[in-house]
Amino acid sequence: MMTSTVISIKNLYKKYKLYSSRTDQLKEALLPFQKTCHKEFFALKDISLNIARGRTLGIIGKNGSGKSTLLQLICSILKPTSGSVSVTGKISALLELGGGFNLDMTGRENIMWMGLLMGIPSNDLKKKMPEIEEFSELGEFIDQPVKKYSTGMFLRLGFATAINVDPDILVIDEALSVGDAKFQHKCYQKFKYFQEQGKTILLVTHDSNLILKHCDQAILLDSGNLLEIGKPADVVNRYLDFLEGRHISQLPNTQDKKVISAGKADTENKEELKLKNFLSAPFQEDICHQRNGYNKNEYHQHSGKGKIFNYFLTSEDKEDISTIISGQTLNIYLKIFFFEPVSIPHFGFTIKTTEGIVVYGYNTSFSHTRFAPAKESEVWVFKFSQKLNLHQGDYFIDLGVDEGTGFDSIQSLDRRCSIIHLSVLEDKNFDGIVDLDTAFEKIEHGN
Amino acid sequence: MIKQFHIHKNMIYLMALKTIQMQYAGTAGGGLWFILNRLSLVLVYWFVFSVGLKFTPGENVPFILMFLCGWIPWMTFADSLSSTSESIINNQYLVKKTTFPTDILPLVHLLSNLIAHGFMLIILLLILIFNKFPFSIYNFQFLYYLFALSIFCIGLGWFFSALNTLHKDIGQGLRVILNIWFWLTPIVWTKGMIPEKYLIFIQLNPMYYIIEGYKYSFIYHIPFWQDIFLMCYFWIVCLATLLGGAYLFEKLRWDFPEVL
Repeated sequence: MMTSTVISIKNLYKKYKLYSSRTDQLKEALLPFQKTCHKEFFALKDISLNIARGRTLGIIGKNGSGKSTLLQLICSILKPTSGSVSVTGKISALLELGGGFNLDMTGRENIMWMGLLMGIPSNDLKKKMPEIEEFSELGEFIDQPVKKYSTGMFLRLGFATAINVDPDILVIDEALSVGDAKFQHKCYQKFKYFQEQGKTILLVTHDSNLILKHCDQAILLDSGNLLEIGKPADVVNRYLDFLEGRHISQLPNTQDKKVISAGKADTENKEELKLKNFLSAPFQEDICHQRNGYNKNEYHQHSGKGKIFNYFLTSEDKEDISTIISGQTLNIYLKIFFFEPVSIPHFGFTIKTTEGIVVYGYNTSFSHTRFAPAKESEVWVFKFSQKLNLHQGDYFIDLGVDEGTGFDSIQSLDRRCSIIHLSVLEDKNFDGIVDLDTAFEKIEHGN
Repeated sequence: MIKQFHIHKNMIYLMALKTIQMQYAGTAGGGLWFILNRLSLVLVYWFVFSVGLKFTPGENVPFILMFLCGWIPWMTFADSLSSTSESIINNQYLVKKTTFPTDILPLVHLLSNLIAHGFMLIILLLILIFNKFPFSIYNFQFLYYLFALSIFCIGLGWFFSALNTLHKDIGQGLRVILNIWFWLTPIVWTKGMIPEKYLIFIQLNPMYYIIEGYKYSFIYHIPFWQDIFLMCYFWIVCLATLLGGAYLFEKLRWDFPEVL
């Protein structure tokens, strides 16, 4: 029983009809032999998926990739155009903040209402009411009409109801991010409890870390196609690559197959040669944008004396990366072209959080290292190696070249702020940004 | 669909109750407004037709009695039909985000209008007693006609709520239809005022059957099986409406979450 399938989706297609006017739609509904006057739009194309009991499935994808449509089909709010969705067990869904609430009813009435919608006898619900009330932490607001609620209160009421009606399958769509940290923590603890109970959870989110943290399986959707299904880390990696705009082959389609496989072999060859190529390539115009993890919203500040025209990131086992696993060593290669002679070149980098907090920055001038002067038209390659004991999340890296102008003073030649977007994945449990590697032991003491 | 009504009876009851509460929520008068609203309308009609125009329907029955017998079922019909036609649009939060059984909505709005129905019937009974009409077992016959009215209402409710969701002009059109329909139905006038040769056309109106039925029950004390031909006609139209409405609703219901 433990491995049985609770949600089974076969060759699911969902087509939306796009009418140019409401009148056209009415005509089509009323006149059976009218020729069709709509355009078709496929929100989901040939999705097949089995979800086993007890799984926590993460669903990621860009906006408009069909995530919400998939959930609505699973909850049988929408009807498949073709294919089938079969669900065993009771679904409790939190599809949108306040979705399903009657604004004029009080919180308490809405709880009863949601219970009725899910077919729970009102006596059972009355028994559960104190539990829901307590979980939601709404206090006396529970007896106020929900139209007076704040966004966070909506979430609290919705989530408290959704999880306390004893569902077999819990479906959450993007909702949890508006809760405060404490409430979110509470929700995720409840997730753990659900997982232990062998219940199935579907989680739709843009936050890849949530998928890594809570899910044991994930799928990636793009424009209605199921691109990948597998371990959260793999799927998230692919999603991040995808967001960075790296080319991803479409679903295998008999016609394109040859082209895709040929393309693939090509990229594999490139992969091997990449670092070599990078190191040996002569100066050309700025090609940083060809790198993975390049952030096109960088802030570029240059003097004209020298220029960082390419960079390269490697981890312990991969090249040209945009993600790294926490605790691994990151190698940053810089390629600099000097337009004019520079007597004392210095190199530096800074790692910042997405909020702009500097986690760590280093400049070779800090250690008073003196490299040989750079001559005109020289290309230098510089390498930093940095062990990244960072908490999982997204970081930006600045790169810079400076000229020493005396003891302890430097002048900037080229600064590329936030040029690299790096995602750090999977870490040990700790609070904060940096793992300071705590040691602990129990000191024995007598009575 | 009838099964749905049974499964979701708690939900129907709660929703109907809430619909009534919502109408007057936030006012200090509350239910008082509800009573004043109905009474004022009755008084205006009574004053204009009975006192002002010296309008007497004949047969020694006061105008107000004739009027109420027609007006009470008509208001229930018109109010629940127009609120049902808006109901799916007004409840889109349920349609799009939950698995809400939208087919119960006509019944919800019918039930919420039955409170007014009951209240007006009490006023009718008071006026009957005031006019020294004898109590009769035929009075209870109105339950049969109310049932007939409900079935008709639900069928049309499915029909109009489904279409109005796809196209809002349908709801506006319905209002126009109801305005004309009101005057085609023997509410303000009586069938005695119609020349014999036109009566057959007037009887094509299913609401004619209902409203004459209320008059049979409260004024004439005629049993409902008296008019067997009209009864058959009504039930054929009514069941056709019910099945047609159910068919159309079932066909269009999966479009609701997409168009809203």
